[in-house]
Amino acid sequence: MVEPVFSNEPIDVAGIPILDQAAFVPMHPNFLRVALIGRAVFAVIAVIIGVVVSILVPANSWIPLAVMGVLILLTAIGAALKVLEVNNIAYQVREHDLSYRSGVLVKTVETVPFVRVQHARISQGPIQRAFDLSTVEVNSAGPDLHIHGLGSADAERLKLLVVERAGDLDDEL
Amino acid sequence: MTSVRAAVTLEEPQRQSLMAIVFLAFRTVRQIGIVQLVIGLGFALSRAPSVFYLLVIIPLVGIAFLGFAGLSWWRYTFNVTSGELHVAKGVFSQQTLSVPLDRVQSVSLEQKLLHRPFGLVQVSVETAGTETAEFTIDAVDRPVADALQRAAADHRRREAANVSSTQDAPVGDADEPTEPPAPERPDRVLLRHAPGRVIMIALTQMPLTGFAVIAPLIAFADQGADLIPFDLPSVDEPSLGTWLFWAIPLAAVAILVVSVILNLVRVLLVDWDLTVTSTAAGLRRNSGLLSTTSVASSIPRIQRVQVSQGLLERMANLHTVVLHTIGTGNFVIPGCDPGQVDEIRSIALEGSTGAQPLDRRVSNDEIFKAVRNTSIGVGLLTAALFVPLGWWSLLFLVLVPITWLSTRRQVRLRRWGVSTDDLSDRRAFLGWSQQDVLLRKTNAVRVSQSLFERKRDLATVTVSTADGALSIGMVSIEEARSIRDRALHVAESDPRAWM
Repeated sequence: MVEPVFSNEPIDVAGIPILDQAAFVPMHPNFLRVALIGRAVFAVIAVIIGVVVSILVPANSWIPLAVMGVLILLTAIGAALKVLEVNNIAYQVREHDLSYRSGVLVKTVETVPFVRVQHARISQGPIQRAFDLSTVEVNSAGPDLHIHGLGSADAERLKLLVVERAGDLDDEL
Repeated sequence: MTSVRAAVTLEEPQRQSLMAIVFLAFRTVRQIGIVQLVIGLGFALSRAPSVFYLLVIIPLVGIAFLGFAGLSWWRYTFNVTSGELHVAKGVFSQQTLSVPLDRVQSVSLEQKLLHRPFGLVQVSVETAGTETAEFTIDAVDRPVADALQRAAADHRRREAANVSSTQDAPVGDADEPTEPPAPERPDRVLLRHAPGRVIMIALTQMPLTGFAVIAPLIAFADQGADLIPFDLPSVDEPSLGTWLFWAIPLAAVAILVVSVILNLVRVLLVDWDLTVTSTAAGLRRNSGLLSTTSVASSIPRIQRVQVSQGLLERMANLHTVVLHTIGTGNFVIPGCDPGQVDEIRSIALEGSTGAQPLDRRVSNDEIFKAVRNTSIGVGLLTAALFVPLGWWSLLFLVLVPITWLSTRRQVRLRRWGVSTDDLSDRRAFLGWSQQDVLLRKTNAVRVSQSLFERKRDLATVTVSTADGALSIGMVSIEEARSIRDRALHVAESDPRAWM
């Protein structure tokens, strides 16, 4: 029986490659526009439903209007946070892994090694389609990575790269 | 044993035991719904023109169920060919399921009370792609089940052995092994709990099950009083305080006693003759009094190792080991002494001892954060309840010093460490719990910073595996990034199997 080659010699900690914070690539310029339009559409739908329900139920018309107000307030806060967050959202592709940086109140950097990738796929909502943006979803056996706001061509290239690297590195190991 | 193994050939389609018809009939009843069946029976009883009519109809319905179950049994076959497990089933429409053996994560055997007299077991096959068992074979002879378990294990071993050797081999049939499987090493029993140890396990667990039993009894106490054939003593207002003075401690003692007894019964039923065996395929856990359960898992499938010792367990120097595996079949091994813990942990961590020494701490700012959050919450609660409760609402403020004391103790006792291979985290309060993760099992790493952490240059690092994650918060941002870089480096360069 041939065991997989493995050694456990001491390693030079200084030699471990570090994730370069400056090498992150920002998202497509239309990303913020799409995010804000999506929230605006949600707010408009909330207003329409709130008004219609308050007309249909005149006895307690304040309840749907109050719910509508809360939803609009939350949407506005979400939009404001997205404006603040947009400069932090970025991704980085290295030889062996993919990282995604996001968040404004809680800033996070998530990294998935290519050798752990199970599959990758692209999704595109109607507003994203109008602005030629896509989301790449990278699935591992652990948590998944969702990279929003990529140009469609970049998303396709990234998906192919992830799948190819996952296969190549799996073979190498 | 050898002759039995030779007699079972899984390449030929196998049927379940005839007893499976009973289990399949039960399953059909469950699928239809017991409530629906009771309603239907009630309807038939109310409309029955005579008892004779019922005497004919009810057996006919029973025969129909058994007939359907018999057809299901006849149509249900399974076999293993070309490295795949094939299952064919379905009465009205034929369904065929093929599962590559390298996708099979575990083959668990369970022997229920009805199985025992016939030497049968239930087999559950679990894969990485599903949360629950991929499929279940209700009742099959033990040698066939063992052969199935062994076929999956042998295939995984062959795959692991061929990982490096097939890379340079000429292209051929992928299912054909390039080398014969390694000789099977004998099984080794790592632990086998005697009845006394099982009783100790029950007595060292927190007895909380009694609350689940006692609570409904208290809720229906009024109705229950009508059933008692004598009058309960009446409680008048002046003596109510004295009555409560005695009743509450007595109820607490009753709950405790019931809990201990129920827990004892449960543990005796579930963990009786608990045996953990190291096999060529990995680990196997057998236990159970009336219904025995056998769970087998390969070692790479273990993603996290957790060792804990509760307050009562500390008194008996016993530990609980939990091996978190991909899917649903975690290995829970209670009642281990320190030697057994070391041995199981060493096998699960594939020779590693975990991060040693555990000498790193989390920031003391954790205490400030907990006290601040509790103060805000309690302050708002006190203000909100001041009108209905008056000065009594100030009693909630006692939660603030309690939080301070408990968090301070937790932070002081918390230790973590990282080595070339492992990340370990130990938390303690009254008992303690330690988790170890082999860094090469890393599926994703996240470094996050809340506003609170950002102001203090702190961060939280989360190393995710295929089954859960190990998260360490309130460490310096440099440490968090260092753990991330190390975990990624190991996961990306270590060629050993990770699942």
